[in-house]
Amino acid sequence: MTYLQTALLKLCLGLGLSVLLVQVGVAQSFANQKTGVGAENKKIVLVCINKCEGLELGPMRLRKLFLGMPVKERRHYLKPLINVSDKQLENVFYQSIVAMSRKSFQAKTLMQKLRFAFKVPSQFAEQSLLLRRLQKEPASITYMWQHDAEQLESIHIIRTLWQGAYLGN
Amino acid sequence: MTKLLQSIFVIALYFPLTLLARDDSFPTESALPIDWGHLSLFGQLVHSDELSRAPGSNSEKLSDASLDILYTGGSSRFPMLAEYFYDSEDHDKRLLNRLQLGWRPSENTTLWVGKFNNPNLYWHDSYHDGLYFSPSVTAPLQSAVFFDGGVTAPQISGLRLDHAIQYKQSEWRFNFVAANGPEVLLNKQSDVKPGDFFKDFSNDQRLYIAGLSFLPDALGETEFGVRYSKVNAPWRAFDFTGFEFNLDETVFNAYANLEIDSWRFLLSYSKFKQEINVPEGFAEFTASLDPNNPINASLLLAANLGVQVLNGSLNLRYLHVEFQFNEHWMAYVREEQFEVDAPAEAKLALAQFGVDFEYDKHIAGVRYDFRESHALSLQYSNYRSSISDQEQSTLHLVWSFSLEVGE
Repeated sequence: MTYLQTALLKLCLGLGLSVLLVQVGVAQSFANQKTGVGAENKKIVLVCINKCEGLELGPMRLRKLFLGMPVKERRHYLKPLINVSDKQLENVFYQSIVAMSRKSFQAKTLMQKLRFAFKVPSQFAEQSLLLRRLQKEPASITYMWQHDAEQLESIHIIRTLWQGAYLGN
Repeated sequence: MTKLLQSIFVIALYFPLTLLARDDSFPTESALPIDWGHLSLFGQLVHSDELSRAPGSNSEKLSDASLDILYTGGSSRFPMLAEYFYDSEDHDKRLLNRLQLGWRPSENTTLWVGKFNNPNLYWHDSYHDGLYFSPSVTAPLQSAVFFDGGVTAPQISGLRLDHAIQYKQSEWRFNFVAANGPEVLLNKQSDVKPGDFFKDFSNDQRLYIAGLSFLPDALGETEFGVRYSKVNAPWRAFDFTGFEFNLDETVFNAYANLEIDSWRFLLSYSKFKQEINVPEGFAEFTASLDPNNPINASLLLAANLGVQVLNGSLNLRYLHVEFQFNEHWMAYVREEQFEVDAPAEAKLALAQFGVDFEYDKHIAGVRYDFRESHALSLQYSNYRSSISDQEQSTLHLVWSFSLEVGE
């Protein structure tokens, strides 16, 4: 009887320990994902083409610009280009730049178009098209991964918008 | 030259300018294709079921489809906007609602020229167009005779200046309007109905509006404001008699649109103060008419009641409350009151002619948003005349959507 009790106790302890180890493993993996440990630490930067050097845009004016409201800098109306070429860039746009959900953003921009004839900013799902537009419209402003911006000669980095782990698409 | 030709001439001059004008003087490496502008569609399909009506009349089921076609073009410096409204049932509503040509010398200042919504009341300025965005199926004051074709014209033509001053996160907004009213299409002499005497104000009205509002967050929707407008309009109801009446109206509107988490509270109070200027000799003219002639009797009654009712003040107040449960579901209620400060006899007499415009209205509705920009709304409204005490209940089922063409 004592032997049976000891065996059952050992079995329970073993099972409990296994469950605990699995849980710790899952939690560690989740924490790594959140903190970016194991993933590469990257930056998203606000860019324009070289002709805009010296341009400064605070968070409020940046939000205003990407909501489609007119923003004028040194006699020029800036043109926002929304980069949705990967999921993380899109998330950073809604969470950090305009600070609203996708649905709220669509409603807000459309409502402004209806009331004030403000243009809804163009969205680009392909970075090559975005770069082409950026080259053609010197007053345009967009954002991209820093490593992409650094590879392009004509791109001027205004400032860092976001820093974190690149998790891929 | 007719007004239509004048409009075509102005657009013909302005449109190429907006296409050619660039917002900047940056040298471009290669020319961009011309931006011809964008089209947006706002549609609405309404089914209304009148659950109860005044005693003696039958309840009706009505269906109505409408489409709002919005064109926006030009550039940031020279914006342009045109809007055509189509209604399947009401031919009078099929018209070019707005045609605005703008000049934006700075990011916070815009000068508009053309035809635009009358901004003397907040709701009308903000939600008249874009059926999909309207907070409820029906607008406040919609059933009051003074609004639809009355002195408070839905659209006006002239100049509008919008200016904003930002201070930290907040913003002060100012607007000034100098405009004319809509055209009169009715010929009163051939078809005289007492109700029409209160609708028929001509496009010769001179309208001035000043508005001031404060937004604690310049990029948010919460807004507190006041609007003040003055109108001087000829009252053409008795033109066939050879006498020219005119009316001075002052409208004051105070409003608050407050958004707190999932709640929205929209409060508004409007006071309309009106004065009819009776032309010299009209009293003598009416005294000389034979009151036994039915046409003369109708004229005498309408003139008498019209002058009594229009010389006075009207008050509109409402509280609209919304609660957003989640991304899809929203519920709203509104309490609305419209009062006329006129002698009780005049109001009772007018009520007998169907001009029953003093009321309490309660509405309650739910809205379900689905897909990208479609919504289904179910609204119950109860209208009770505070003059005759008659009630009317209506159920509206509405499908609305917005659609971007070519994007």
